[in-house]
Amino acid sequence: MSSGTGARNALLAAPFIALIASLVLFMLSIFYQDEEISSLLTMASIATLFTAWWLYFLGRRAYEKEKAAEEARGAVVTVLQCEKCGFREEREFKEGDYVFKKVGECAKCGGAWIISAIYAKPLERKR
Amino acid sequence: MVSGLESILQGWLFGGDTTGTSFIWNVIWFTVLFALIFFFNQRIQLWTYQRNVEKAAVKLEILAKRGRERLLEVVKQLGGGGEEKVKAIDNFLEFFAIEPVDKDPYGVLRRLEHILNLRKDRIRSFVTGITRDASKVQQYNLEGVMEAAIALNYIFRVVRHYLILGKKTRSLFILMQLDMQMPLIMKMAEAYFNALKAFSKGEPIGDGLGPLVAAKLMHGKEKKYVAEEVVASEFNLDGRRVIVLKAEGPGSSVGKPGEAVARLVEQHGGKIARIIMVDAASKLEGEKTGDVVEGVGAAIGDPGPEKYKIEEAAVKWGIPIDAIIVKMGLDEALSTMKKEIVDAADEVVERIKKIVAERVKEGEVVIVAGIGNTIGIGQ
Repeated sequence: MSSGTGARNALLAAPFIALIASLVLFMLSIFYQDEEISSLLTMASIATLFTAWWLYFLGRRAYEKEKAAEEARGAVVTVLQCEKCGFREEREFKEGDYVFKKVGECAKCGGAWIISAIYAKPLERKR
Repeated sequence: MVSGLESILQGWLFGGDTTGTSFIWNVIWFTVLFALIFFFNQRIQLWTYQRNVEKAAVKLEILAKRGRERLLEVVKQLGGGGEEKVKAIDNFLEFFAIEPVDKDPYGVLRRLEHILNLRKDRIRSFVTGITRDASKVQQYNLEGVMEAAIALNYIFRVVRHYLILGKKTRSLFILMQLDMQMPLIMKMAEAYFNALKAFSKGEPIGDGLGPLVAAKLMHGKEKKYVAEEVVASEFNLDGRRVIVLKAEGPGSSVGKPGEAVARLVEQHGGKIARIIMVDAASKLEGEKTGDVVEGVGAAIGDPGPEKYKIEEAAVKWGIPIDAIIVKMGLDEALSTMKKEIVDAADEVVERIKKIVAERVKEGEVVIVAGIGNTIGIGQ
């Protein structure tokens, strides 16, 4: 989709990579014979684990923000309807539109073509 | 083999080794822990609440600034640009109205109405002054934008005031209360921000449910003015005389429906069988948006004067008042109308027809009042 999705995927992948790195460091610390190096590896593993948690927290927040913004961006729809034959059409809202405004004549029967409703339509999320 | 983790936990943190270091570490750890619990617990709480409120205040400031920018943008579009006008708008964002004294409640609603009229007139004259070439509808919508921007600015200033006061006095009580109320305050601010977007484009809002229902009933019929910014249509429905009224659209307006109902009742010498009021109402959490509910009483959410006039007229002549409400949240009432609310309007029309058929005798007169802001809804 957009570059936003790429950024979002990167934000979700980063904590996973950090978690794997933390596990690898921990395993190395167990099998390493030298105690000093082993301790350093353990500390590095704990630090990476915290980084993974922090990255996950940041990613989740960014994801929620994006989701909320996407929902708020929902399109506003104007419903046009013929008063005579009931034929209806939908289009995007334009400034100056209002309910019961006469906008012309029906292409099918020549009846009064009016705006019958205006409402906010939540944006369908693309996967 | 002793792993790195074990050596850290045993030796450093819990003093598991047998050397003298472990004792020192134990003492240090316990001292730090007790010092934190006994001396700094309130400080830590204070700091946590303060941080939460500071973050929320930053968000509110952004909303208030964006509100102001949107307002300036709309004014510019309507031909009201210029440095002087920007300055005048900035000053007007702090406009206020003082509520009348209520220690002596006699005539308080009359005095409140006077103040509300003054407030409306001042906002109207200011808007007209900065956008002389704009149409009446555009100016009315700009009034809505202005009101929302004023509300956002006010919310931000109040929160900032209590935040600074809490920091100055180091009052846990102030900061804690503020932090706990913050989710509701943020919800309200976001609702006003969405309202600002809807008003600037002239889109119908959820609160327009009442006018939408009235418009559906009066569409195609002759209209007349019955009170300030209120139009009405009179027609026959199954042998009953129905008078439908609403604020005049499509500009942002709520009109004076109380005044209109009272006048109509007097004009008919009190011979009104029923008053049916339609309005949007706050839903409780867990309830569905667009639910239609019936009750009795004046369904109108004004500060008081308009509701009082309707109740007075009803009591004077013994007229029953039916209320039909459509449930929605505050954010939904102030933002662009949702599909569920549009669908509910059709259901309300059917309910009104049913009430008229069942509770009003042939030849009797019934008043139907569509209450709410009519932005984006004609008639």
